[in-house]
Amino acid sequence: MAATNLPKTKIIGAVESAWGGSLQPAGCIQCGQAFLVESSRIGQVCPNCAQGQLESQPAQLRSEPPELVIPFAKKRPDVQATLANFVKEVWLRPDDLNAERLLERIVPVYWPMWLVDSDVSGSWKAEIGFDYQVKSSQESYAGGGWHSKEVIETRIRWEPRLGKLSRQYNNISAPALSNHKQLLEQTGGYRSGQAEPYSAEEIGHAVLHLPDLQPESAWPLAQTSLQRASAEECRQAAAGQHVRNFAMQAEYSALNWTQLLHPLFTSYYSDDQGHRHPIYINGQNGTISGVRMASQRKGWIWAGILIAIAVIFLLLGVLGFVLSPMLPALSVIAILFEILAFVIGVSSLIPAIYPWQWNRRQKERKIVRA
Amino acid sequence: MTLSTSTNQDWQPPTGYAQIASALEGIEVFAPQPEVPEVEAPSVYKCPQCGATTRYNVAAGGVACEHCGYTAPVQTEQVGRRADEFEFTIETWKQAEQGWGVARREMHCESCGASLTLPEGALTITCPFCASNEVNVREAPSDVLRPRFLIPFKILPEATRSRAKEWLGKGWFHPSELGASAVIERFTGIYLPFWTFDARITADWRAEVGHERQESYYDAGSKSWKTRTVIDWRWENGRVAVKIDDLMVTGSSRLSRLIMERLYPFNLGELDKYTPDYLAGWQAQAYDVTLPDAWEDAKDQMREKGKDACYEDISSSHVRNFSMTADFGDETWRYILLPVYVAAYKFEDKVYQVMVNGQTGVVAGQKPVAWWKIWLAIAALLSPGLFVGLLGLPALLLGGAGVFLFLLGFVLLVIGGAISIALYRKAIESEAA
Repeated sequence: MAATNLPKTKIIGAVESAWGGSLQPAGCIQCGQAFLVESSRIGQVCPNCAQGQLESQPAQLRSEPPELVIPFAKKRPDVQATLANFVKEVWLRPDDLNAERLLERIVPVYWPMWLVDSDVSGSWKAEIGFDYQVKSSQESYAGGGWHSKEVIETRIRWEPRLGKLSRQYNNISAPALSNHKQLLEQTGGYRSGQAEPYSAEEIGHAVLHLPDLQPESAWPLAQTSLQRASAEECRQAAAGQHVRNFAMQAEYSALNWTQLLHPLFTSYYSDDQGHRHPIYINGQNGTISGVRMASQRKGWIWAGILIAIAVIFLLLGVLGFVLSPMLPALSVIAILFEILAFVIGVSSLIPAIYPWQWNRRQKERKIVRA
Repeated sequence: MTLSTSTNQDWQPPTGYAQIASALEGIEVFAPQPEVPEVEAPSVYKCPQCGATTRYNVAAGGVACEHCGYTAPVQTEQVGRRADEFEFTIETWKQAEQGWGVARREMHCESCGASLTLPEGALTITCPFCASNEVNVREAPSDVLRPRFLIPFKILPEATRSRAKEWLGKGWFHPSELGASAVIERFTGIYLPFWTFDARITADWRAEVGHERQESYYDAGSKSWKTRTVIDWRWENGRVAVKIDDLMVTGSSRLSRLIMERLYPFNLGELDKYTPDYLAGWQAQAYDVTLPDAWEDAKDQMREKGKDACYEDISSSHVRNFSMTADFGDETWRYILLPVYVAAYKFEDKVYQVMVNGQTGVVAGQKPVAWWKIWLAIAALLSPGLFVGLLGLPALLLGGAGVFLFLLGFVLLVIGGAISIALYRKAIESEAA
């Protein structure tokens, strides 16, 4: 199947009735992603990268609406609790990183995945694995005697199989976004069995993330998915339990491309330097991810406060030593003050170092899920 | 995964593949055609030239006719230790537990049509009516339990008698006239069943290991510092891996296991694929020690090897509270036939058994013992110790020299006793079957 035979997408301009709703195309210059949004969202922060702003612009769009949509199972109160748990783990967090502000900025987004229908016919060959059981033994020696224990192990016998295939596959998934894999990792995946037929009412006020991988680009990935589905069916046909080294020479026909939409909440916060960091929440199971930065500025402030307290104790201690010839009991208090000054002074390092260490770990972890 | 978009309408399965049932509509499945068991019908050995009975001839290395000289080489392949091994699958285990059974003991002579009854455990028979040699291995409960490999006879039947005579003449504690006057009956070449087993043992051991240490102490009696050896005990553990390859267990309970083991080793590098040609005119026995019984025997030996390996792994000879767990893995088995000549001989009205390894010519068997020679030797071994010891007793009164003599006598007695016991055991084993 040559890529030129794949369905074409068209470029749509300003406001128009797309997919049964009154959404208009928009894009972000920073991340280059395109969306269908309500006109009121133009000028808002990009829900994908949180760096740029949504600007009205033409977008590539297929005329037929998505086929399926996984509805939002998580509601606003659920999200609030999730956000509260997410931020509370960060000590010395920036002022902007709090559950209320994140909740204010929440945007419901549907992100797409291609669903491909295709007739596949051709030949295949593979090694099919059949489970079988063997009797093994475990022999124990203790107290001068042997004890035997029978162990049943399951092993795999691999046998070559080949044949012809003529099957129809529906809704084979293929990525529609270039960051598809990353999104799945961040959101912990979706149960597509809960998908419902698309309706404009279901979308409501949500933002629709448009594919940046058109069928022409997504075809090799779709083909891999189709072959994986074929391998699984050939395994079933051969009555085996495993399959490996699957190879297929096939012709793909009656291709039909539609979309499956995944629910996602996005929000963002700004760190000390004013850099915005996006937060993603799986709209189906509530998995939250994002980089949580600590505030170095707050760290310095707390360190400064502690140092100031330490200096006060230090001076009080010195004063105590000076006055101790007149009042010998003061020397004991002076020693206590000096110890306190030392302990508090050393403790001031903790708020100074903590944000630096925490932020370093956050940056090393590309995906932070809670 | 290989991706291709080319059309393949005229696809045909490669040769050797046959269509099998598919569990899904729209998918055809082809699998390699199963091998048809080579030996389905009993093989009959008649000369194609003169019609006389043919048999496997060791010298000719093929099936030969003694009447007209016709010879047909044996069509087989030497596989050696690469010979297929089988796993202990649940199915095999169930089938193996049945043994060869007693069913289907009847066979028809393909030459004259006579009904024949195979002796218990026999794989071959010579028809008493037309003298045809027939080979039948159909009785096994499954294909894998038929003999798949064998080592053919390499030693000529004519050479067995001289080898046995030579063997009988060896050894000083046997009757001197044994080699000359023993009446050896005709040697019978027989293929005997053997099981070979492989396994990998991973053994984890734990024990209290004693480490010797020199310690100084003050001896109040002698009022001096002395040194003594003390043992510090501490718990240690370790893991050893043992690979056991081709451990052999006899599959026949009819012949002396003791003698059979003395025939070892067989060179399994000369294993050939089974063909009934090798059995033509020779006797062959099916196993009567079943696979589970043989495996139990092999496992006993293997775990002891594992235990020995654990002890070798321990850094000291002082060990107590030893325990270990041996995990068996990659266990496989093989059923083979090995060539042995068996005969009996008479000496002084008693019958003894003798066997010759049909591959290597090693001779083993029972040998009568001239017990007077043994007792004489034992007396000679013990007498120096007794004599010196007795001499030392009165000399004890003289002090130092007496003590030395007495101790020397004791040491000589112990040495003589140990050698005597070994000699006695050897003599017992020599007569044992």
